[in-house]
Amino acid sequence: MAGRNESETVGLEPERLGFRRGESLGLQLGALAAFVVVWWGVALVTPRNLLPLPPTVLGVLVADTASGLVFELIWQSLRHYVPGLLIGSALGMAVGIAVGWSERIDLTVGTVAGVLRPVPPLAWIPFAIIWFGLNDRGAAFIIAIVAFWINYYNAEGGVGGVDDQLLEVAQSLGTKSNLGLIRRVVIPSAKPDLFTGFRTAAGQAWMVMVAAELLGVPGIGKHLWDAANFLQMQVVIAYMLVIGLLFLLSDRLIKVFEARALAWR
Amino acid sequence: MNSTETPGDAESGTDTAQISIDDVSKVYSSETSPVEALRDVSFGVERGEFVSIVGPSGSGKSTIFRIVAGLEAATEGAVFVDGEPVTEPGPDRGMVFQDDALFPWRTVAENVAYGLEEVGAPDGYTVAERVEYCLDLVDLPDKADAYPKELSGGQRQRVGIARALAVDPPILLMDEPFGSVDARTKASLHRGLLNIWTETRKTICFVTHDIEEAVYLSDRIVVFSGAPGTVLNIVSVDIDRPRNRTGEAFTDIKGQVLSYFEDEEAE
Repeated sequence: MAGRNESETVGLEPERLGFRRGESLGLQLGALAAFVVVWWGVALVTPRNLLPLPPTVLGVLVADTASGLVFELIWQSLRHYVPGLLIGSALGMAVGIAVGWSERIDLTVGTVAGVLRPVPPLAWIPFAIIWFGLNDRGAAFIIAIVAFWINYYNAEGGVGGVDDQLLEVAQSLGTKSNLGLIRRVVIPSAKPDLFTGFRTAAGQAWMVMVAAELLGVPGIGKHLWDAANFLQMQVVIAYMLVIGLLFLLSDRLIKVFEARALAWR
Repeated sequence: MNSTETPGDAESGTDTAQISIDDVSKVYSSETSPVEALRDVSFGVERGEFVSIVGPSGSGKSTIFRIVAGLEAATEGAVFVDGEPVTEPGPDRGMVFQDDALFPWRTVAENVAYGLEEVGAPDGYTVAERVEYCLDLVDLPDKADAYPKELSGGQRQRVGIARALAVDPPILLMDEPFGSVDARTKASLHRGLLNIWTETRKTICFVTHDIEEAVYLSDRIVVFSGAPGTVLNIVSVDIDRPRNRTGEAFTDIKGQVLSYFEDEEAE
């Protein structure tokens, strides 16, 4: 890898700037292929019930795709993933912006937030169960908590990074109210951080979703846990890969919107 | 303090002054010891006049800019614009900063339109017409759809001026607006600004540490001393425009302004 790069770019060009599109795609595919080869090799010398072979896993994916089970499970998971992510993110951004903007709100709400922040999201599971029950709403609640904190801190940081001079200019041009300044200066200015927060939350939400479904809420995670109970490790790996793929897809999708919304950068 | 009476006293507080700075002092409180930024500053700026404030860094010239702009309050004294005390920033005083302060997420046209969206276009214009007029004024008609990052430093300053002019404020406050552009760009911005001033007859209050710039542009120069900021003198520049930067009258006034700083240092 390094050798090929050096032959094309003589000098001290930093590696992170030196790749062309085709070249980087080749590297990515090569790395994935190497990963499968290593997995295959390790699986060959490991008892089958501990680590299944790649073709076995592929077999599960093909069969479940043909039967439609994959899509049904994805749909079940999305029914709490999407509302949880959206509601948690919206609330997190709103509170984060308010705390970042107003010292008074920082001292009050921000202080309370500082106490609640270290509580692990999964510690809320008992409340999820007694408040909402073992259903989509309960799982969405856990996902929303994760999304809330990530968005909260990114939004707060984004607001803190707003250039004071832009606020002064806006005031001199007639924007008087707090809400006006937030809407017309703070939010556009903090948008890169808001996007980063949302994208990070979308990724973390997939992970906590699997844990939340442990409660018994139907979805990919539940299916994965059930398979593990029967030591069907090929199913476990198959749906781990599905979650990985969903993560990549959601991340790419958000990045597309992000690139469009932040074209000014 | 060494300089007891400021010659500017005679001109301050008169009824004709559009901006009247009246015995302004500013002390920044700090935990260790208070910092005196301005002491008893008084001068006036007439309607349609171009006045520069020059002084070394730390002389409080940016502080007086911020007080006139309404971004900070005076500890003592007051600033009056058209007889009304200044308490907050407002569309009657357009501001232009050293580092352009454009909204990076807005195109050039959207930056210029910002104030119009708040207070509406001046009589006889639509928002689009006003934006076009202001971009013509600063000679950037073909950059309307560009984002600030796509512009040079000089072009960004022009947009900043266009944005301040868009809401048609009677007063333009400029804080070292050309402090970070190269010499050639600066000369062309100077000509552009004087053209705009001639065409719009704004009252301009221009803060700079560049004495030549002040002599080239201004009707009068308010010379500030170092900490705490006080008015050392006010120099009238009675030279016809366009001014020749190497002419005798020009260099005389430059030398005169410079001599106030040297006198102060000597004492």
